[in-house]
Amino acid sequence: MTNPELAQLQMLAEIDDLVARITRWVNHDVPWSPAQQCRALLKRLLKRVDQLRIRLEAPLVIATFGGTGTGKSSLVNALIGQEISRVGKQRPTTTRPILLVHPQSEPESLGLPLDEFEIHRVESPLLRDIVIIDCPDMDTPESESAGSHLDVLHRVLPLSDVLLYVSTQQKYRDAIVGEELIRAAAGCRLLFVQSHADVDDDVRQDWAKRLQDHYEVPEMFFVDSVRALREQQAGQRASGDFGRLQDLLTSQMISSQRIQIRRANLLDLALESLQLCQQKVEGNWPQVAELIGELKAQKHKLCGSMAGILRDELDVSSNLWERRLLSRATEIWGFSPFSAMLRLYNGLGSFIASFSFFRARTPVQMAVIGAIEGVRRIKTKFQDSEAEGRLDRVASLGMNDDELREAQLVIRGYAQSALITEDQIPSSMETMRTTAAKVQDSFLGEAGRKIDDVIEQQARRHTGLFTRLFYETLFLSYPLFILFAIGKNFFYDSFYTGNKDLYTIDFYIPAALFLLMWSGLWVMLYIRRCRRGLDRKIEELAKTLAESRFEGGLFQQLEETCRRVDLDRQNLQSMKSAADALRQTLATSPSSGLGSKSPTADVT
Amino acid sequence: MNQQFGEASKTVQRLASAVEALNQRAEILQVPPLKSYEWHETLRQKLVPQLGDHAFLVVAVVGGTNIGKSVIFNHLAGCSASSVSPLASGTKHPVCLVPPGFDQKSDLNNVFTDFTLEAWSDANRALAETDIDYLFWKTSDSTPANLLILDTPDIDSDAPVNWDRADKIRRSADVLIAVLTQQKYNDAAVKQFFRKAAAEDKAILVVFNQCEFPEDEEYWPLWLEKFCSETEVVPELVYLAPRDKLAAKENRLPFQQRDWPSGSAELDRSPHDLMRDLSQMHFSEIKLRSLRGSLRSLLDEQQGVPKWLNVLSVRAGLYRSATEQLATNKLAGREQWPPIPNPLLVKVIRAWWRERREGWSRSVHEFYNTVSDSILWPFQKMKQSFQAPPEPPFDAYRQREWSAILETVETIFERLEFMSHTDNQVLAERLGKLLDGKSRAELLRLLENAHTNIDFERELQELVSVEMQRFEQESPHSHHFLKKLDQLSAMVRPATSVGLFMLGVGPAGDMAAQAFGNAALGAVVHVTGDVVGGTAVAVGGDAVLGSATHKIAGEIEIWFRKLHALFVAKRVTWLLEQLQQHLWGTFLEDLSSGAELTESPEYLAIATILEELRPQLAALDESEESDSSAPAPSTESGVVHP
Repeated sequence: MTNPELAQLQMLAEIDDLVARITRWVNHDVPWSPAQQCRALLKRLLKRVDQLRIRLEAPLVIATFGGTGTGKSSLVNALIGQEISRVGKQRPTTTRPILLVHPQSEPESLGLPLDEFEIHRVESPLLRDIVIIDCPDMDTPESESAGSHLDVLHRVLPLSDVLLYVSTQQKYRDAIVGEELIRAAAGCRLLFVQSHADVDDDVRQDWAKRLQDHYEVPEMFFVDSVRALREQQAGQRASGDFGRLQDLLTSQMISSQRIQIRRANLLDLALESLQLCQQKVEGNWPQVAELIGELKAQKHKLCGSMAGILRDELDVSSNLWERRLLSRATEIWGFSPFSAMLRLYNGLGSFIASFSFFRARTPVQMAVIGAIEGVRRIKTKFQDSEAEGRLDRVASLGMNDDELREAQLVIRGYAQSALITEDQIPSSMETMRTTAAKVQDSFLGEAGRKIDDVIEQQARRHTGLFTRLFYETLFLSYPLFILFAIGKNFFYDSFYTGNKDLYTIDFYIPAALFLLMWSGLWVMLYIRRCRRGLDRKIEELAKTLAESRFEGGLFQQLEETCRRVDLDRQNLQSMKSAADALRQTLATSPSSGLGSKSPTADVT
Repeated sequence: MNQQFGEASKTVQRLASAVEALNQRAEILQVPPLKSYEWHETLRQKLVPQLGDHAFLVVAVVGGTNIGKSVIFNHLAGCSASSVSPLASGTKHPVCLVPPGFDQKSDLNNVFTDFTLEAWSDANRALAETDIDYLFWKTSDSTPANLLILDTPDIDSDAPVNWDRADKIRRSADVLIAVLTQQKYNDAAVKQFFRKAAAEDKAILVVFNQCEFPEDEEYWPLWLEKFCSETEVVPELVYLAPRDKLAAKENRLPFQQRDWPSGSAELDRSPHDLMRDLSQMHFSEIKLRSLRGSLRSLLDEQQGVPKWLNVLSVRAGLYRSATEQLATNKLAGREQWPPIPNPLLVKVIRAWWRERREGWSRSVHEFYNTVSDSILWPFQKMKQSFQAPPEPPFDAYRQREWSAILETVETIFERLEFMSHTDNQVLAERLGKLLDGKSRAELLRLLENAHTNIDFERELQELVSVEMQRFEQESPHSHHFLKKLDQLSAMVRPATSVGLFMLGVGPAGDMAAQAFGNAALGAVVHVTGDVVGGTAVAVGGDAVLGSATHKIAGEIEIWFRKLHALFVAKRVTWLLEQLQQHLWGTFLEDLSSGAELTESPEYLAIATILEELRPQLAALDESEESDSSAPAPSTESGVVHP
């Protein structure tokens, strides 16, 4: 296979890929009305693509296009060299499209609605590779009622591959024809012909100037159809521009060019549809971006206020901290005299606390007690009194009904301007509360884990080998000394030398008292040591929580929708640029002498 | 006939100014601008300038682009007044031939009000592309004394500004020279243009240009028949002109007249001078016809002023239903507004009462209050140090009221959302602005600011003092009773205070004493308060009041209830004011003023004027009938041709 052939194949594959991507995009629904409108548009495109696929290998369909009296039928007759299409002076002459096919070709294979046409089988060399449709005009009807010839025209034109646009000195700037061309030209190759060369002045230059804003205009033909027909009927070859037009049609429309022309049409059509979609999506995007920004701000605010309240609570319930820290530290410490002492104190403290108001009452304090335990207790506690309890609970982290209502009101406004379907926002206060409770649970869960980390870290820091040795030694020095004193008194002074009495209760009571005080002193010192830096840790913790990229929010569904809309938009963008790139490649390939609608043309 | 014209002219002038006045009022309704109504343009461009001053006839050459309008115009002008080009859409501005001495009789500026008039200097100026609507005028000796002859831009090219200028000329014109060709006689744009002209009863001359003889001889009746049946044009005269570039260039194109509708065999091939034919027309008859036609289209139920009035009234109905939906008293619900807690109200009443105690009773109460305050001071300090600082008394109420405000705002937004979703595409834009997230957040912020700055205590004090004074005047019995009760409590005050203190109850005893000191009024108010609140029946209520005072208690109760209602009303009013200021702006006023448009004097005035105009039009119709039977006055038809 040669290189150009390979390139051609690759091009075709890429177009197929683009169509597949569009199909996927269309089938993946997003609850955003501009995107839904785009999908409706692209669905129509895909329908046309399917029609094109069916007749990819069928002969090219060439349709005449132009105002009434511009000589469309005369041109067709001249092209095939026979008087088939009625030519007249009464307007409009042609009201039903005429289909001209070669006797050997099968019009059924063209995928055209044949009952719309008046079909003529004509033996003409030109019709070997193409079929010609002589269309009615578009500038006599004043309304497009069903069955009117404008209606028929609108159904037939999208099925053609090449438009043969015929105009005259009188009509080349006609407004109605211009509008219809904009509508019909997408997805067609174009040929421009000025007729009535026998009587009119040549206005091709001015005409091209008018067209170039919206179309790529190749060579235009200035023809005299009547003379051309006469020449051919006399057995001559048509002269002048007409001859060249005939040549172009026979050389460019041969079967080998079919696929190229159809693919180029398809690409143009896709590009135009994508452009329209992108305009629509981009036009509505800023409001969605605003919504996203507002959601982010709301979440940030929520997170910040929850973290602030958490910090205050953590400051207030420092005793809970100490207890947890101490119990974790003793756990790490393992079994030893001093850790037994610490455990004793801690247990005593918890025992007392369980009676007092130092007990954990709020969810935050529960989170301090321990993540797993805390969350479990939050769950069990609030499952009982779901309805009213939820309100209290939510309020404890600064989310009361009013604030939820405010948030809901504002976000609804943003979502509405962003055209996001309404059911994305919880409507009842009850749902808002449930969501808020969930948000809070997950925030507290997160906080609990962080608190655990801090406690773990802090506990590890204060249970190093050296620290342990230090406290054990100092703590043990007193009991050992007492033991030593008692031992010496018993074994040596009283038993061996016998010159001293055994210690009495007078000794043991103070000794025990001192032991108590001694252990108390060291436990206190140790607790003080543990507390050092805890305040700073709390501050840091609150800060990281406030800044953490907290996942849950009050409007999770809405956030998810925004994300999907954004993704959708990016997909559309990338499809559009893929189509652009393909179009660029096509534009650089050798010219066929056929015009088309410019890709930059504004479409309304 | 002139008199009839005069009357109609005056009525039309009045109508024009009445329409302007109503239109200004109707701006609020966001209806399409007057400019977009054909009748309004006819009124301005035809009837107002020409009804009063109808001494001239406006003749315009009209048709599609590039079919030789300018060629025909030049034939009329007798020179190259308008530039001819093979390219389409050449003529951008109308060119007008003015008879000599015209400016002494009439002012051209009044005839073509929407154009900027410039003296003709060069045929190419009419080709210039500008945004200004120019009209170039040229005095032409060959023009009959009361004719204005115009070349116009096209009506079908891709330059809509051309159509617009052609439409303006069409409305002013009395006679249209319709240039048609084989290619264009059945074009949609052409048909639409001439259908309007036919509806206005213009005299129309048809010129088929670029004919090919002899074959077109057989076709032109078919073309013309099609054209006439599609547009309802009844041509006065029909001409054919051959396709002859050279003749056109040299301004010697022959115009051959044809008989229509007979299409008779009389084939007079001698070229006609269009100007001569024009000058032989019945001027006054044509003028009257076109003015009547314009008047008729002005009064047309489907397209004229009545239609506009109808559009306005439909729109006003839309506004009315919106006003009803947004009736503010429905939106700010008094029912769910939180009542002020009774203890707070009682406290304020007591404070007010204390201020108003007189003479002996005042000094006794004050003395004991001071004593007990100073004894209780340390205890209160201690209590405060144990407990968290007490919440300011009105904060809880503030919180509840804020919830009520939020609920109200939510209801309003729900209603607005509903409105913007269902009907009212007209209001959608303004509603969208109210409903968008930023303005919602801003509204909440402003409301919250205003709300936190409210001093509820002062509000309540003001209300209480006003209402207590009224109470004093309206129910002297009850007021007197309260006063007596208060004095009685002052009398027993030393006994209660000292007695309780001596019994060793100490500070607690004094608290009780003080409580008892204030109890007389307090109890009454409390009892009624409880009744109002419906919470409980005060246990000691009857004992304190005694059965004989039931009537008085009832009076006090009613007054107390009223106080609550008044306070709520005051708060609701406050909210409505805030909403008006921060949310609605002029929206509600605009709605209601739009809704009332159909009852406005401006609206009714137009209806009256229309009623006057109808018989005047009928009178003109009659006069035409009698006129057409009579021979045309020689002074008005046929002017000496040089």
